[in-house]
Amino acid sequence: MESVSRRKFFKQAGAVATVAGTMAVVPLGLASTIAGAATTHDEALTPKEQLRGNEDLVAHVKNARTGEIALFIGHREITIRDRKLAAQLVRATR
Amino acid sequence: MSSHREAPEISKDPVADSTDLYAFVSPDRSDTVTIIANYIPLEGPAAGPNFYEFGDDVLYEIHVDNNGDGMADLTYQFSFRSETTIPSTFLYNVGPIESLGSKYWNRRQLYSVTRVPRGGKAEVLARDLPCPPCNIGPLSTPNYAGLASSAVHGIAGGRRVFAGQRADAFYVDLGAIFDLGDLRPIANLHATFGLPALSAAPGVNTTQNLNVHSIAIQVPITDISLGGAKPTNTAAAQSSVGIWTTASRRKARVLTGTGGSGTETGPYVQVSRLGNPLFNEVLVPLAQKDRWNASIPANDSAYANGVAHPELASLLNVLYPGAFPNLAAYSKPRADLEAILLTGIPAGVVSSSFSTLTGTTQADMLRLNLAIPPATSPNPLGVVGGDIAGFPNGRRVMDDVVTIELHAIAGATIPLVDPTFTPDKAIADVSDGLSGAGLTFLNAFPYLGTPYSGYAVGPE
Repeated sequence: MESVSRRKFFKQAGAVATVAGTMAVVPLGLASTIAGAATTHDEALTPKEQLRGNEDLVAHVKNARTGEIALFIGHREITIRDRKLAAQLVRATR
Repeated sequence: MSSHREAPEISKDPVADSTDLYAFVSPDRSDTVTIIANYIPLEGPAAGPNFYEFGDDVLYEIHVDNNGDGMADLTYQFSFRSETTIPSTFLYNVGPIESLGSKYWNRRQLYSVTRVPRGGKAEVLARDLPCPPCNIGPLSTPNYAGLASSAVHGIAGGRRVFAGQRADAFYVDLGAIFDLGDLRPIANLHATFGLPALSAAPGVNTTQNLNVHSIAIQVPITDISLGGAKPTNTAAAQSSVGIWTTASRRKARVLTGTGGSGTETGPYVQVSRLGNPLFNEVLVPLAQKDRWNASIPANDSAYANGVAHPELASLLNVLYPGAFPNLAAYSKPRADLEAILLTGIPAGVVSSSFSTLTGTTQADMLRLNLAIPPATSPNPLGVVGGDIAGFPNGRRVMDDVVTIELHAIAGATIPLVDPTFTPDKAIADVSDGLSGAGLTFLNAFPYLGTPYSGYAVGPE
């Protein structure tokens, strides 16, 4: 696993919410989309930052209380801690 | 069984479930080693229209430790992809498959082979190698043996590979053994828990007429030995390597609801492991088996207590009361099993010139002494039968590992490390009553026999 900066993550988190074909895995087996979270990040990805054509980014909120989120992309797992983002993701499922 | 359905979770995931691992100095090319990792347990040959295949979403690996630390110094990776070439038909094949390029063959698999040295750069040895089809029957796969032999591929560095269906060479009376330790040949001695007495009977081979999927690789000895040298000293620890196989899946999987397997991402995570036959099956508690599958040999000291004090040895005294008095009275840790399974056998135990020792690290690995040449007349009982080229010095396709390990657990190998112990007379009768009679093998790579066809084999 590797860590990631908060700024870099917010860009990636934007990808979670906005890029078609991307999925988030959240606790309790909820599988609905999180389009509502897209409104919290105005900064769009630059063309260079976009996910590649068939690349999927999966976010697993492992602990909403501590904000621990695992991101799976390509052959990598990146763990971040962001309570605000975790809360946004959970609220998006309500 | 050896490892066919040995743990609760992996038994639900057969394409990633290893069944047996073999490693031996090749009898017809003694400058090479053959390693075979079998997957997909208990394949019924009549499996149409969707015959068995490897998992496209599984990373299959064969690991070699050549310095005794229980960590992989070298890994061969095998990755598969499937093709459906005639999407309009429901059939696996629409005519006889007489070559690997047959236009009648609808569903086929191709694979790549990668060599990964520890701390070094991965080298792709081959790409898009075709697997053979499954053995279907005389109309679909005429001359199956010839067809399968065309799927033996010579690849870079004098290596050979084969990946595809084979007859299962492992034999065991699973139905009896897991019916509370019934060994049919001595069933008349079983305690039966107050139920009506059983009669002694011949063993029944549970894997008879069943297939598996094999990943086989034959490499120069110097491809896996320490420092790339050809070992010559049969007593030296540096002559032995430890081998195991693993299967891994991607960490994240999301089903899309549109058919197919969905999307997978993230790093691979290990879900299956196999070194010595029956290790996880018999010596690891049920609640820990899947955790063991996900761990590495270097961490196996955590499971050493199950080797030093095997539950099955205690059960023999309960299930066959009075038959094993010496074993019942033996309370010392089983140093014989620890040597055989966890560290290798030091020189001087079997003979001054024989060793499978890899070091002091306790690790379940199939250990092979690369300096010992293949036997001209192999004995399926291996080392305990006086044939030092067989199990537990590696494992050959004909080795009777169930009998060997049952005898060892019952105390036959204790005198190797503790001359004060006298094995019980009943050990001679400890057997599931099977000898592998009727199994056939190839005399060349990949050695395992031609798989049973669905047409030729039906329900009994």
